[in-house]
Amino acid sequence: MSATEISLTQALNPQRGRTPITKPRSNSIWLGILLPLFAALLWEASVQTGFMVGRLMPPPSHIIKTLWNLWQSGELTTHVIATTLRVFAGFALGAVIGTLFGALTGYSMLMRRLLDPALQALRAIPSIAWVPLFILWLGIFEASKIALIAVGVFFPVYLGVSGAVQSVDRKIVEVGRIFRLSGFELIRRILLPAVLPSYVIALRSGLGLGWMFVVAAEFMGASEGLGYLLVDGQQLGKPDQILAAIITFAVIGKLSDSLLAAITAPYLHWEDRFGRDT
Amino acid sequence: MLQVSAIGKVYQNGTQALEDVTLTIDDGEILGIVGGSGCGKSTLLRLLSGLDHATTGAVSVDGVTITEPHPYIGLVFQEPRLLPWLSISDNVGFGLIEPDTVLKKRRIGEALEKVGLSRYGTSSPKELSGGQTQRVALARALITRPRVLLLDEPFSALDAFTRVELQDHLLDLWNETRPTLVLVTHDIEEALFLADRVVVMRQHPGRIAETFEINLPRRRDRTSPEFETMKREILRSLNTTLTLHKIA
Ligand SMILES: Nc1ncnc2c1ncn2[C@@H]1O[C@H](COP(=O)(O)OP(=O)(O)O)[C@@H](O)[C@H]1O
Ligand SMILES: [Mg+2]
Repeated sequence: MSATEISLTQALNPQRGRTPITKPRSNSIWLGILLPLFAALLWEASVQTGFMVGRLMPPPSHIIKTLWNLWQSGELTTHVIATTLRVFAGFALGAVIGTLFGALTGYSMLMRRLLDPALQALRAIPSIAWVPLFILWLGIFEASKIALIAVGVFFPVYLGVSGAVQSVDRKIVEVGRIFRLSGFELIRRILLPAVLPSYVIALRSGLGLGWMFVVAAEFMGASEGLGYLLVDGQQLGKPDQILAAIITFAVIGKLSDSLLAAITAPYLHWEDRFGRDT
Repeated sequence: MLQVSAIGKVYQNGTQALEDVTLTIDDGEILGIVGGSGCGKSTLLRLLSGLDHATTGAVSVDGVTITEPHPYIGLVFQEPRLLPWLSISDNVGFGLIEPDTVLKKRRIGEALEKVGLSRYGTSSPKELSGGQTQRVALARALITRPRVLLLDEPFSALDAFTRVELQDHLLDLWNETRPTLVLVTHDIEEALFLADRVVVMRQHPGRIAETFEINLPRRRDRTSPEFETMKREILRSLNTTLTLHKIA
């Protein structure tokens, strides 16, 4: 079928026309997997045939075996839960505070002038630089780790919310004003839904940074968690364990992001943007 | 009665948008306001709606000074300004305070029917055409039964056919409850077709240049000689305001 024929079918029969739109999407998943899969197979083959030495860069079969063993012994579950809980606690803390400050500075010019310069200055500090101070203040256990993650989550959420509130279309706010909505109603019925799409993006990038910062936090010294697996793997010379931890990070990071996207999707169905799927 | 007493508006940047505008608009009257771009038409409507404050003078409805949006006064903007996250029904019912949900639903249904969009209640704004969304905006403004409805170039973004259709439609809606209409437009024909009185404005600063009583019986025939004559008169007046501005 030629391109014009396809668009013609779509125009005449939208129900049937949908098929060509969904098809490339399921294809594209496989397309994305193709390259990593090929690389993995190539590496596996080179090690199996003795062409390459897999001591520092273990082949996929080796990594899968390590993952399986970690899973069987229950270790993997322990580490994943420890890390996820830290990210979750740090994310919740950072997101709540970031949302609060973002809403304040976005809504009120006075608050923006008062708070934003100081927060921007704090943002300029590389967050890892806080580590020694956090350890001194909060000790080497959970509190300092969660604080560091919260700092990482705070800034993208703060910037996203503040920017989103500031850029709400004045024209839409006037619709609320003409119907005499009170301050609270204006926030609930106009501002909140208007900022929601940017808010979700801010939360997602905050969560992404949460996963980055949990590694740094666990490098500070932890007896469990995926970061501990990394450090342990380095100290005991177990590259397969390091790679197993890295792969686990990728999987749960992606899973948590998809979960966040899926939870918020029903509230964003109205968006009319270029590049939106569905 | 809508009373505009010697209002002036100077924006914060020093722009004098309006100077000494005085108008008395009777209940049920349709007032057309025409004028070149930038002569303060939108500013005038914003002051009438209470969205903005006059620098001098005052606006009052039945003797009550307007300082903020008033339940009696509705406004239709130049753009539909629908809320994209709400369905068409919810957009129409946005400003309606009616705790009884069954009653509210019925009122929304009636309002949609009046603008001929009954089938679209569950659609979302992005699924409607420009003319349809402007109808929704009209329904949203009318559902609260305002006694004064302000319209700021409501049909200017539409094609000629849709525009004429909506002008007819607006007249039908007006006929039902006879609210006061203040219609800003840059389309002389639109003003002539609808209004009892047409005010021509001039700019720098925005002022009333001339007022025309339109005594043609409704529904007006856009092709009748009387209509044409009035149109030419208003056009001449408008041109004078524009050339005056050029000389000044
Ligand atoms: N918010 C504003 N701040 C400063 N100047 C404004 C503002 N709104 C309108 N103006 C100015 O006031 C004048 C009248 O504008 P407006 O009422 O929008 O005219 P119209 O609707 O007749 O085109 C213009 O010169 C415009 O630039
Ligand atoms: Mg205007």
